[in-house]
Amino acid sequence: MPKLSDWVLISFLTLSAHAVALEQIYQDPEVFISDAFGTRPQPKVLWLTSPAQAEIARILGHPPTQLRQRYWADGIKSVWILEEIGKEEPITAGFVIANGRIDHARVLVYRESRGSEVRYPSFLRQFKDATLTSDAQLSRAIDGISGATLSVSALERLARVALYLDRLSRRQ
Amino acid sequence: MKRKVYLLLLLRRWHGRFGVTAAIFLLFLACTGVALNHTQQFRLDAYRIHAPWLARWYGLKVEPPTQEFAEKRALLIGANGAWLLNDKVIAENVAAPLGMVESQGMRYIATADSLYIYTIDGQLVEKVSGSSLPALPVLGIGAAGSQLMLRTPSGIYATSDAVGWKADSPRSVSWSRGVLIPQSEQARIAARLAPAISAETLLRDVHSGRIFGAYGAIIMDIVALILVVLSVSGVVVFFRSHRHHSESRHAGINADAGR
Repeated sequence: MPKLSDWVLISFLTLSAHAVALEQIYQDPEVFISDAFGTRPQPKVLWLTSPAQAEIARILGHPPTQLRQRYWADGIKSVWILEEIGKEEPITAGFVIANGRIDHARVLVYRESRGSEVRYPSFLRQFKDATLTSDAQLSRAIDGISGATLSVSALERLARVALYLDRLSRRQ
Repeated sequence: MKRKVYLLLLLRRWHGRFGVTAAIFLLFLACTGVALNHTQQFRLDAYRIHAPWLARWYGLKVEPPTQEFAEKRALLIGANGAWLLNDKVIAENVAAPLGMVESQGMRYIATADSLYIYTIDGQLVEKVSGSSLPALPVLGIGAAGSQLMLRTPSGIYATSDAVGWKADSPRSVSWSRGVLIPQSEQARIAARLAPAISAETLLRDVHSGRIFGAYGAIIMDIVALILVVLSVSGVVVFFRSHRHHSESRHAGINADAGR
């Protein structure tokens, strides 16, 4: 049980950490799209119908923030730039889906004060080749990172949404 | 012996006084601490408090709303990173609006670096930014027939869906322009658009004492000191009372034995 003076110190450190939380751009989303295709294809949009909104709400635990999702596709490959809040701030992540499997994932912009370890390739490699199961789960388990639980969970949800949207876009 | 008893009583009295003082703070810390441990369940992170006095207390720069954009039945006002559409806050953490246009059943709001598309009933359809816009910064937004028009330093661009854009030559474009907010409405709107502080941030700062700046830390230091005094006085009172009772009991036994 920490003493009050410890609480004051902990609070101060927490607030200090909060104060220095800045937007970290690890890769420009435009560069991520160009890298995925070599060139930049024309964007497409996917309107989220009521059933799609309901399914995304089931995955995210809250309704989607927008009714139309922009994406880029060329043949079997599609790219999705998605945002989800980890604890307080949105994390922007990019997903390249090929043949219904995640080809690669990347954290593009990170805004939370803690948990940025999710940007490391060693963590993101776990998403490679993951598919969406019939109950909208990832086909493979993703190991968490101590101290980054909420960010890990946010990325896992985004990966499921990306796979779901890719599946949806192919039905159109 | 009398002096010792007097000192013990004095220590006990002050122990009680410090105890009551500390109890007020401890109860407060316990309640706020429990609330902070469950911010997500209580949705404290989502609840935002709009109050000019609180914003001033936090030293946030309060930008008074000056202009409004009217379009058909809609009225948009932006200030302090928030938008008020028909008296309802529809967006936070957003830049100042440059204009608003209603076209083909959608409402478009432009900022210098983004275009926000809303349904007429206020649902966000999409935020378009970066290279999804034809050029940056956006200088103005308008409509020409069914086309949405964006004015940028590199020219005017037209679109019907905010997906594909084409350069257009200036023609009969109705540009959205802001007008000054009536003086009588300014105070009310300023209160609605005061910078928001999340309930979690406020509670965390109250809990740590940081809400009072450097004084908060001093108050907490004093409380910590009171707890140290309480611990010491508690131990002293306990052992002194224990010894006093033992001595009294021994004296009683000896007296009984002497009879």
